[in-house]
Amino acid sequence: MKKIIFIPIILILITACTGNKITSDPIISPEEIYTGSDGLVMNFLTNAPPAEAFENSYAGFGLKLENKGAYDIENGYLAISLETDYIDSIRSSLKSTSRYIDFSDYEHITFDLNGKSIESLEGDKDVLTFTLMTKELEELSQTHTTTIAVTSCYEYRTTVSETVCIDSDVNNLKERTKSCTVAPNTLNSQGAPIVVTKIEPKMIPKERGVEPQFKIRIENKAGGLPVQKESIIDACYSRALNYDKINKIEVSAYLAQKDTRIKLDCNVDTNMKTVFPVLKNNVAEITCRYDEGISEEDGTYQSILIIEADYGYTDTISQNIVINKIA
Amino acid sequence: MGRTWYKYDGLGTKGGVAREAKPFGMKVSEPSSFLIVGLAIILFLIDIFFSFNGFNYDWVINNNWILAFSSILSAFIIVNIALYLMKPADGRTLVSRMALWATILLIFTVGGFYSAGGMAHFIIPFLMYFLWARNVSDESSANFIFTFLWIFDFIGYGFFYHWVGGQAWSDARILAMLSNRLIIHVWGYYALFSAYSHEKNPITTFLIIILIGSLVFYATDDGTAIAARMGYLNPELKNGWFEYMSVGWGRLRDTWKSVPGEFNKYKDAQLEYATGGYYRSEVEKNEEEPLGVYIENLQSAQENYYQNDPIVIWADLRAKTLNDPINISLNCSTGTGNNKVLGEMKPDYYPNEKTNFQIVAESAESLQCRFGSSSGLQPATHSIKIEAEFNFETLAYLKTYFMDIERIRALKRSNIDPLNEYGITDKAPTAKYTNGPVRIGIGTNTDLPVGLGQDYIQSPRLGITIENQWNGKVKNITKLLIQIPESMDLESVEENGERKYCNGWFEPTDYANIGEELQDPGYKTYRITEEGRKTIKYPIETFESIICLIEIQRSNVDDILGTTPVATHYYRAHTDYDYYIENTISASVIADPNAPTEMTSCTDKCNDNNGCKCINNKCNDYDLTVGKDDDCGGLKTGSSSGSTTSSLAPTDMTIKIRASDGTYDTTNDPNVILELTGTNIYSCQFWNYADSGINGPNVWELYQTEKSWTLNTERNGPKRVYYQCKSVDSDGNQQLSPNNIFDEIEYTGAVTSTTHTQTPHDLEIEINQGDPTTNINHVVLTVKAKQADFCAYINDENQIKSSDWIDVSGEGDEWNTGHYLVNQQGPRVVTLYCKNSLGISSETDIDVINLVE
Repeated sequence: MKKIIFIPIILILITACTGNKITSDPIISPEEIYTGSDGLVMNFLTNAPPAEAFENSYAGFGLKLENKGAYDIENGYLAISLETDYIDSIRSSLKSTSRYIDFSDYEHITFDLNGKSIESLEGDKDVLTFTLMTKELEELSQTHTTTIAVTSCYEYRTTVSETVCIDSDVNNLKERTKSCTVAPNTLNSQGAPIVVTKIEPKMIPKERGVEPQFKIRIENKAGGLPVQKESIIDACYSRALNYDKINKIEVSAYLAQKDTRIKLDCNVDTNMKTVFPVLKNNVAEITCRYDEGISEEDGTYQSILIIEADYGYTDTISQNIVINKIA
Repeated sequence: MGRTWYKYDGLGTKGGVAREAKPFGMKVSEPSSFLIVGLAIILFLIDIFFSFNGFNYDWVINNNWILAFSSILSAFIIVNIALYLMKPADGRTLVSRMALWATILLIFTVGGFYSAGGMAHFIIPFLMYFLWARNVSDESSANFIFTFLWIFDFIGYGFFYHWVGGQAWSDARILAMLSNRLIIHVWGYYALFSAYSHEKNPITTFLIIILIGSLVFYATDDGTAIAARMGYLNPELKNGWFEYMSVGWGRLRDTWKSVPGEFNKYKDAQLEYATGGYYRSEVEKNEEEPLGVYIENLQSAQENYYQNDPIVIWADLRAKTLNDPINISLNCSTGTGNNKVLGEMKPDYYPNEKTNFQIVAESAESLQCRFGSSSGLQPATHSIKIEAEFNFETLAYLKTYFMDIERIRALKRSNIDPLNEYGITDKAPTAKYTNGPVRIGIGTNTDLPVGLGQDYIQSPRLGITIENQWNGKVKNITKLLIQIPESMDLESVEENGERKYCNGWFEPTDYANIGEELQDPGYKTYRITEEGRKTIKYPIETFESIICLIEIQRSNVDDILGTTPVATHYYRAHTDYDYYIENTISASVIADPNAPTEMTSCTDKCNDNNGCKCINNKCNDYDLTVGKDDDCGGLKTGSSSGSTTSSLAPTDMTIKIRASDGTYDTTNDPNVILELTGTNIYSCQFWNYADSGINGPNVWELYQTEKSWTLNTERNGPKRVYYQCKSVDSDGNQQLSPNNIFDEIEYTGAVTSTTHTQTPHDLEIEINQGDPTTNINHVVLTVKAKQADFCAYINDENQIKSSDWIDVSGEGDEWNTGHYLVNQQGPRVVTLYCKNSLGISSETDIDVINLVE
């Protein structure tokens, strides 16, 4: 009986000691930051906009923005598409949890939103709200379904930093043990909607060494549309958006060589002009090479391949509102 | 059956009662059980055709002597039954005989015997008694069984019939059902059970099952009717569940028969849709908010009306509008043409105006249609029609999308759906229209979004379909407005210094000419012109479409595209119209049993106890001693005003098809008037050759000199309408006219849908499936032809006349048809010609058959 009484007391003491234990902040690793295939994620707030509203009345509009990627969005655009015959927005009612948000014109909002970082593993979030005003339905009309769409357009970057093996003795002429082996790398995500999913290194023998080549596979893993980064304003407006501006990614690659970063030539055409890859069915492949090559004296060693993909990204969410006549 | 048996005397097995002495061991032949069953079945069948209501209760009650004598007889029967039950040692047979004879005398006294049914109910049991009952049981038992059954049959049933007739829920229909003795067919029960108890075999068992099944069936049917009339069941069951099911089946059959018509309408609409001339839409909100005017729940105040009694029909009117008030004018009538009789509609809030009601928002009214006693409706079943004409309006709108053309091209080149990309879920918007009798469909480019750019201007199509979606008719379109975004225009051309929009069918209108509710600064409004109104054929029974193009100026492209990736705009259409609906109910007018029968001919014989009267005053030979009327005086029962009975075969029949514009040769409107003449005609049937061939649908209606008719509209070309009539003489005998009386009119209103690549070909004809001879001049032709719309079957070497062409467009490549040869013995030749829109085929085919005596 006495034992039974003592056990809870001991448990309480143990728990109390544990609670008082001093804990340190978790260390955020780069892998945690550069993971996931989302960029900006938009969601309507629950019941804002509502599924149904009455004519000649007001309804709330709420949009939650989250930058779930690893790149900071600056000067992003939101295009608010309303069927203005039936519903309109009251611009002055715009509120947000961020001071960087405002209507740039009647139907567009500009915003900044930082991505994940060492300071914040979740990336910045913002909630913007404004008031919608429904208009009077036609005299004979009893109900009308209208669509509200929000299109986001922003610049984004995918950054990859991956260890690769450089082997200047591709034919094993020196018959010595190598510190690494040249092999393809498969990757999952990098905290951005455009993801480098595979790196295939090749060491092309040259007269005195090798020319490293990297075949890089890029995929659009989010639901939006990549556009040339200079075209993000066009994407959120009704302006022309040509074929050569959509699905286009600017890719740069670097190889860490001693204390320097060597810029690789990616998709250079015969005129030595860079041709940016175009995603087809959300996939593109690009080959980056180091023309000068690696001398055979350098042997076999590990290096860091840095890939940076710059692009604009656009995505749309929408919701229907049924406007009912007031009986 | 027919087995030999020994009828024993002395103590029987049933009660051990002493019987009348008979030679013990006398060998007699047992009657077959089929005898008694056969007699019962004969009576069963007689009961189907002749009514039998038991004794005449009213006559007995009102006749003191009869009442007194029948009471004495009844007392005498009761005494004898009591004596029988007291089991006297030897007198059982005697008292049973006395009871039986007293019963027979009672039946003769109280009546019910003096009719075919009554005679049958006496004679057939009499035969049962002598041929069966006395041979299968002892006499006293047989006597008392028949005493009970006869009393039940004549007296009990007479009382029952009288009691039912006195109930509030009873009527002639119920009494007629009860007169059918199938329900309580006591003689049948006796025959079957008696036969079964003496001779068990599968056949008698089967007959008993049939009998019980009939009992259940009729008891259910009549029980349902009685319960419905007493208010325990749905009033629609008032004529029994059998008729209810029959009517239900009829409706189902009618619905099924209407499927081809509806299918054709659908097919036409699909064809028009495919060719850009039919525009779809869906109702904005479901029927929970029905807009428009509805006439419902038609009910007759009585099941049957005596001639010259007022006829009263009730109905409910419901109306709802969201905008302009509805003016409703109501009418009720029966018959058509010269035979049309108008009833009086109530209430009428505007007595001296066409309008009866004005509904501002929503209302429900009870309507009464009354035909006064002087309406002159003859004994028959009359179809009474309540009609309403009202103004109404319908609005429709269609959402459409615009996008920069370069963006569309870029996205499509990347296999991206432009609308998907920008969150548009309604990618193929269908026009929405407000509920009501008319549906407005709006159509535009099917490939959305519409691409625009400074270097790329499109003219989107704007098609509008006005479709009648109720069973009534759109009598007139009083207003049709189109609204398109302010930055667009309807296509227009300059003609003689005047700008014409959309072929001159529309013109811009300003706010002053449209209702306040339609004024929208974001839209341009166009209204239909007189010229446009003339392109619509009235009444609209299916649909009418108008197509216009929309012009977009380069300077307006930016306005249309707006500032967001997808621009959404609306096209609207609004129409005001007059609509006509009708609902019908049948009312039976029956002859007043106390009124003199109307004579249709001076030579008819009067069989009415109340006398007869002549419907014209040309008869000079009436006996004026019985009654008198305004025309020619009464005619004595049993007397005749003439000595001969005329044969009433229909004669002098003609038919002419009159188009809605009053002409007789061609029509583009399928709704025509049939002008009819003829004598000795009681009723007629009509049919389109294309629908029924040479045989009528066997749907008869009272003869009238003019009849509204709808031609078959499947194809353009000559359309034949046949009619056939029959006469009915005073004895109910009917004579039919020939069924080959027709007229023809050229129909030009069909939308040609079949594209022929060549004139008809591969023509083949065969008479009576190749038989070499026939002895009747009506033969069956088996015809083959490809791509034929019309064919002619020409007898011998006659030339083709325009009236010979018969619409075969619905027949396929092979069909059979009836045909009359020239009625002369010898080889008869039939030549086949066919044609279509490309002309008459270059080939023909013939067949020969020998017409013999």
